[in-house]
Amino acid sequence: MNQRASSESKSLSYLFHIKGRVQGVGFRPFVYSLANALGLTGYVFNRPDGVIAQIEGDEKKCHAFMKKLKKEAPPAANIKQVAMEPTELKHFNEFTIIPSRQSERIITEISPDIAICTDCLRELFSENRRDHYPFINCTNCGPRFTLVHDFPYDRSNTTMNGFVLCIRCQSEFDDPLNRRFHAQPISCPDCGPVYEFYKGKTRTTDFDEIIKTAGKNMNDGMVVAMKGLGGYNLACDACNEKAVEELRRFKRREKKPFAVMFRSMENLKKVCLISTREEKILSSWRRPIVVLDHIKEGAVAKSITAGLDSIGAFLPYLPLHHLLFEQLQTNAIVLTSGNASDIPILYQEEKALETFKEISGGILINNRKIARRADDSVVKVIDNKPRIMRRARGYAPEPVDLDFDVSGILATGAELSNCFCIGKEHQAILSQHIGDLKNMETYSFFCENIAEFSRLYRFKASKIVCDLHPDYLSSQYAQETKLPLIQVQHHHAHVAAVMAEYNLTEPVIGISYDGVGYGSDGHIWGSEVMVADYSQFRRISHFEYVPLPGGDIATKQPWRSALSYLYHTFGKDYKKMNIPFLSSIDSKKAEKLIEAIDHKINSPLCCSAGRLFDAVAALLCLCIESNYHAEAPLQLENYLADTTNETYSFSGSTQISFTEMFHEVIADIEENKAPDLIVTRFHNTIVQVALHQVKLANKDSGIKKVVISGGTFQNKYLTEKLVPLLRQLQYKVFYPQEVPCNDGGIALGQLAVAANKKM
Amino acid sequence: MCLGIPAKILRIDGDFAEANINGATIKVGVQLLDRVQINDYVLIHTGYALEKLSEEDALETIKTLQELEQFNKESILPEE
Repeated sequence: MNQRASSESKSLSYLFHIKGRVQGVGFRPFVYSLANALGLTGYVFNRPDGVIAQIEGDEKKCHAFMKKLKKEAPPAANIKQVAMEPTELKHFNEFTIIPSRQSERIITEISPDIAICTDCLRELFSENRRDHYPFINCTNCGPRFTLVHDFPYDRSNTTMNGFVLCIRCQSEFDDPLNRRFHAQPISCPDCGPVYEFYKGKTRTTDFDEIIKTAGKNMNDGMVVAMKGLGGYNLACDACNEKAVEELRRFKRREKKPFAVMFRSMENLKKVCLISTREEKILSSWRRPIVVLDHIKEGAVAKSITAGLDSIGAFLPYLPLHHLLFEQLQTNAIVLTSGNASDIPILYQEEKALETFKEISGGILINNRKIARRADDSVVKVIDNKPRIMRRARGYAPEPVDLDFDVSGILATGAELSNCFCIGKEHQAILSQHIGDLKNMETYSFFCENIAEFSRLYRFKASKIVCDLHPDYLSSQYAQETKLPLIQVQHHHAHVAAVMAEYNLTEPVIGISYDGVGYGSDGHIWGSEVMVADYSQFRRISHFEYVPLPGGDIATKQPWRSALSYLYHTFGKDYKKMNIPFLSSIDSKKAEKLIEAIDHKINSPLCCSAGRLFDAVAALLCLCIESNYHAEAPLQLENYLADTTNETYSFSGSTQISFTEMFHEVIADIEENKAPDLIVTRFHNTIVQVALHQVKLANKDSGIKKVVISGGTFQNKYLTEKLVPLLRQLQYKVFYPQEVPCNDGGIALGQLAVAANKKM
Repeated sequence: MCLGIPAKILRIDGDFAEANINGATIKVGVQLLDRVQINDYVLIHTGYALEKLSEEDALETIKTLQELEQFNKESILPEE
């Protein structure tokens, strides 16, 4: 210490190798500015495997550099590893950015799209040449994934390739100290893309006029179609019931709740209670839709939430959204993908002009092409952790880093909420959310997107992995490739996906509760507790099998599951019960269903948790027929009131029977007990069942690591009750965060299993 | 569940035939049957005609299938 105090501290030199998502996110300019601010010399450049930098200068300042490198990195950067070593002094005169040679610019990570940053937002509403310019962006923000045609990430390989930079933009692009240094998608009103507005036969090209008309039309209760980041959106005033009605009609989406974009965090806070964590995610650069527990009654049009207390909320992420809000009286708009329900988001001009010609408020298009679709992502905070439910804009195509090699493996995923996955060395690259493959349009999106990812990532599949379900279109796709094929049981894939996210290599206890998944015994599974590693699994416990009359149709008609459980529990005596459920359904039709069960007509055996939730929701008349995917469990969740710890009874171990529970539920219904009490008791029961199953698996295997997955665990209450109970018993609990716990995560699990299986 | 569906033969071309199922024309293999004629009703499974049906049986099966389809479509809630 004395030495340093007495003399000038000595000069040092360090070499850095920074890995992770450090390209295309403004990392080199950041390093440049940081070094300059500290008076350090040296250089920085991009290499295929990351960023290399050498710094030289005063010891203390070198240390400050190390500290700030991680702490102050650009928001969209994701530093995974910093390797640093002292090196010889080279006595540089200044700090420079060394241009990358073409061959060195092949980057392996494409950044997700980034919401408008605070600097650009300030510029958007202040006097400068990009004042009110809807395509404003910089190194820290703007489109990426939806803009990139090819590697390396250069303007010529983006859909901005047709727009030549004007002199002023070019000088910003070339200036290392400018925040637009090497920002590939930049432009200005002089050189960039433009918006056009169509309504009937009128066409408007002046942006000022366009945004004013669009705003006015929305203020007047009309619906406007507009080109967004990853596709076309439809927008209307979220407080105007009539406008929402038009939207529902157009989308042929009768009941499913809509997400709502709020003008600002301040406005959102007025109508929703938001945790610190939720606030952070809502305003992050990823800017996903966040599912919030409770929205104040009357805050938005009633039909938006379709009877639920919760709401999917998000904040403006495009300059266009901010410019639109400036024209709007309302503080909340519905902003939804521009397509009929369940088909992929529309992203091409010709189709958009045709499809939206009937839309009352007109169409906003622009001539910046969308390279590929991306829907809005959906996140839910559970156990105070962000859990992704739909992975698209702002998240895709972020890879999952693995401890093992997955090169050449293509995982085709599930069928509903499909998402596929390709393997590149030690990284799993998941596609953006694709959707339900049963729709022809979605299936072609799936096929095209696999081809597109293969081209983009220079990927050639040598092995293919799919679900065990023979009828999944994703399984049939896999079979048709004629590549070496591995089939993975659905729930094993759910568990393996979580193992992959946390790089767990030793066997775990896996809980997987979901709607339906094809079991190794040919029955329908979905209440699995297993002991598993990547290569195999052993089924330890599941719910008792009950016939599922109608098969897949039962997922849309929860009354079928209710009736099947009633018949299973009470036999023909169920008819004598005096409960509202039975008096509200057509008894003749009900009898036909019982006949089908008796004669085993299209009544596969099923033990899924999802159908049990359906049964309870229908019995309580909360959801007899489902209007959209998973409505029944959502309706149940809506009635949860954390007011009781009571449970219902169950029995069995390897096969859990709910006979006693249904006796007690019916008794409660007959005694007119409040539905929230019954619903809460039911959820508490499921928590106890899961705990019971885990203990059984632990007794069998001694394992203390528990993995929780499957769509059922999108249920916040269930997860937040179960996890602490497991932790109290010294279990180490893992649940998916970066990857959906629903079928959107299946592909990752398939990939991990395939990589670890000998063929 | 494996289900055979009745279809009416429209045209025959060697081992294959065109058949009508519920208004749609599909190509089916008829190698497994000895003698098939136009207007015959056959039971189709995985693209092959497995057996001949009497018109009466065929029409009754078609009716049952249609009823089942209707049943699956209709609401369980009584009409108001």
